[in-house]
Amino acid sequence: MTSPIIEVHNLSFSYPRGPKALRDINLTVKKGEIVAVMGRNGAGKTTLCYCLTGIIPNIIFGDYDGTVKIAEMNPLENDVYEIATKVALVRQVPDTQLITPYLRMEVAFGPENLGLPRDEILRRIKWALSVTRLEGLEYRAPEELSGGQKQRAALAAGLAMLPDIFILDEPTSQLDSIGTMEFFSLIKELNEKYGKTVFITTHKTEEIVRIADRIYLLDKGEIVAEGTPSEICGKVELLKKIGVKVPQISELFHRLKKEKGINVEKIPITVEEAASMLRKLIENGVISIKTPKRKESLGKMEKKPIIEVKDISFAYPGEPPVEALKNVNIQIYEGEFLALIGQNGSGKTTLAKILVNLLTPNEGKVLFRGVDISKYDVAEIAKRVGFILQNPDYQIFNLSVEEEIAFGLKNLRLPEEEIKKRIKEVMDVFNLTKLRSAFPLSLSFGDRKKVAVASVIAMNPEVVILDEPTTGQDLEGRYSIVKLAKELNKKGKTIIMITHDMDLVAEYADRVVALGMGEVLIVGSPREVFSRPQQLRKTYISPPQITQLAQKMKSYGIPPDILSVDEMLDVIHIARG
Amino acid sequence: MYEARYLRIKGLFRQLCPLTKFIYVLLTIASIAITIDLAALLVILIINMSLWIASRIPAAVFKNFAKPLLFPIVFFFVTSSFLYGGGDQTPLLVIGHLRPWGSFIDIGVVTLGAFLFAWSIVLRLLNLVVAIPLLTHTTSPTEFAGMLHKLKLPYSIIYTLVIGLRMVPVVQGRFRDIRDAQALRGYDRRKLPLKEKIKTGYGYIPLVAPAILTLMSDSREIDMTMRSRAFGAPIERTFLEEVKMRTIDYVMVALFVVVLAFAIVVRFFYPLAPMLGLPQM
Repeated sequence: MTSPIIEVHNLSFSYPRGPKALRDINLTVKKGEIVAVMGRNGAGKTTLCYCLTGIIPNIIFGDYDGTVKIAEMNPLENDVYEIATKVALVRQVPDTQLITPYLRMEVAFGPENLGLPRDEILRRIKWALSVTRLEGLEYRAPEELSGGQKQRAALAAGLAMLPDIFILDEPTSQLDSIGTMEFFSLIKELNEKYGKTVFITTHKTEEIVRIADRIYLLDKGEIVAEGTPSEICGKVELLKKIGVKVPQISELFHRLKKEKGINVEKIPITVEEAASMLRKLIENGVISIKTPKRKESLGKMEKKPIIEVKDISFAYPGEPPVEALKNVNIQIYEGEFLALIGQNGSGKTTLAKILVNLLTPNEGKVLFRGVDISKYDVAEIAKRVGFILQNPDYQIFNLSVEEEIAFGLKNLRLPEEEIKKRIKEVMDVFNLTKLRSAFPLSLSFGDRKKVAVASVIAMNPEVVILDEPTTGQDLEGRYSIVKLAKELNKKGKTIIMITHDMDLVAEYADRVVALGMGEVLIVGSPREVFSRPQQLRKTYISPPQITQLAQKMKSYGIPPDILSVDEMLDVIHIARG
Repeated sequence: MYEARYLRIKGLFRQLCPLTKFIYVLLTIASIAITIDLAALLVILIINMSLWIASRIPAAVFKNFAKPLLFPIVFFFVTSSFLYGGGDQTPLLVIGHLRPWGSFIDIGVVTLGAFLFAWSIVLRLLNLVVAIPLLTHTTSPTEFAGMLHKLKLPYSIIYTLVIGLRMVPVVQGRFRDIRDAQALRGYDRRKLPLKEKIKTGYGYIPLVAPAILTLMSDSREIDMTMRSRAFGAPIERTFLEEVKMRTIDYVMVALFVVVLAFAIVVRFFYPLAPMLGLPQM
């Protein structure tokens, strides 16, 4: 780990007619390092990846200034295909990275383009698939692979080029926790076993700090900090300012130091490290644990069910049929904020689609306020239950934000005055008034998501289902949509949120339903659900970091169902005498 | 919807060079285009079905492939039965007498010749239903690409076709998601008033526009993916699958040529049907 393999000097870049996407970037990556770049959406992370792989300036043009040297090549002098022999790129969306009808062909594609002998290509296919743990799936079509497998397939396709460097641009943003874990463990293996250099951009702080050697923080196209994961996690204020998630345990120790004046040797980055530090502090008599009495929240008994899922079973047709839900029974109460959690393929989205009649169950029924919804068509249900799909671009087609929001209202055949009134209301709530005439597709992903949500909320449904509202979003994006959902919840709407983000579940949900292999595994408050980590593991979910720490510290008197850093700080006291 | 999906089945056609299979499909099309002889078409169908069995393709493939062709088969059978004027004029079914614009064909009568001709159409289509999956289901996309390269098709066109194959399920899935997203905003194309239908391109704009816009953005991403895997490098490309004819291929091509020759002989020199006592078409 000595010689630099990536050197960037004074790099600036602007897209045509756009502001500066990168400003005076200077960075160095040594051979064999894992270097992460973090920053909010629009900070310049993807642009930087494109500059390193030669996509800028060879495919995407703009104002380019400065120098990039990567694996002894310069994108200004070397074409993308030349750089591709040493540098592999894996990006966010699997569907546009898997470009051939089956896996074997995908992995062969790069080596074929390099004109390598057939035997060599076959050898590389075998090796790349074995390293990425995709052996036996050679003849699978991309649509037959899971999200995690797809990203590993994209990695295998890059690996077959035998690169020295991997440039990974938010490769896990669309993956659930198990997919992310699989992917990061593979990256670590590629780095340790095969000596590959890795340059990765991500929003997943808690996961990346476990494998990265160094982290750069990027804000508005500029590098604002650089350091080891522990150093970076210590810059809590800066991380918050530039919209990067602070790991809960790092925040805890930062606040112990700042608010309670406790001298901590360093900022921990893993739960194990934090537990060990906390143990030391207790055993050395620096802190003591006192559990305050918690107010018991009022149960669900007072509320009326708005949706009742009764004995629902569903299988996708095929040979053999794919069983997605098995005898599911759930009651959803009026005015609650319910989180639906579980690994990919656990049946969450299938269940949500059944709730809005997009899918018809093979067995069982769904009642909305006591009425069997099979009596309604999708449009009728849409008046009562709003369903916001993951990708806003699948619904946006109008020329202005206002028209986009009006679309659903016109479909409901509402009077012109009522339509105007509702548009104004949702625009105020979603802070979209200034964007009224803007072309929706020219907006940022976060704003497009807001438009999509607003257009459904304008229809005034009693229940709102959000399908993975945080996928592909940065910290601000994640919170802005969920905060809006909470606001709507306070106004009486029932919210069902499908999510992999346990921090948000802990913070916002009243109740949680955990699904696994098409069955209901646990139902209860976030506190109850996260207190059962063994059962959660069946659906590959881990409680929030702070809850995991509390569970590790149970024998020291810390309640194992702590959900937030504030709650943890409440039980930690400076020891007297 | 029918999908020409490659099946890794160990059978006769799986062992053949893709070029042989391509020649087979071309010669089968030529054979069934040349002959109208019912008996000859039946013989060709039996040969094709034997090849199907020898290639161990599941019956479900036939079902899937034949399903979308069912309507054209029935349509051609019915129209040919009433509209074909040649062959044996013995009436089989009379539902009236109608000779539009003084035509010599009475379209109210099904004659024996027309009935047999209608069956010949059905047999032709069935031959196609059997022949095409023998190529598509036993040839992997890599072999297909190699075959097209052997046929001297430019490499950019080959990969346009390959990516097209990949994109079919992507576009289908995208279209389903868009349809769901719009339905969830109360949109039902079929229930639109006429004025709205006209304004929204028969109601398709809200469905097609997001599909086009998202696919346009995908195409740029795909371009980046391809280029970052050295697509377009000025290097002579390797095709993973070597397209090479072996003895078994030459034997099979000889068999297909014999079938074609049989069709030509039956068509132009020795019609088979009269020999078997079947009436003329």
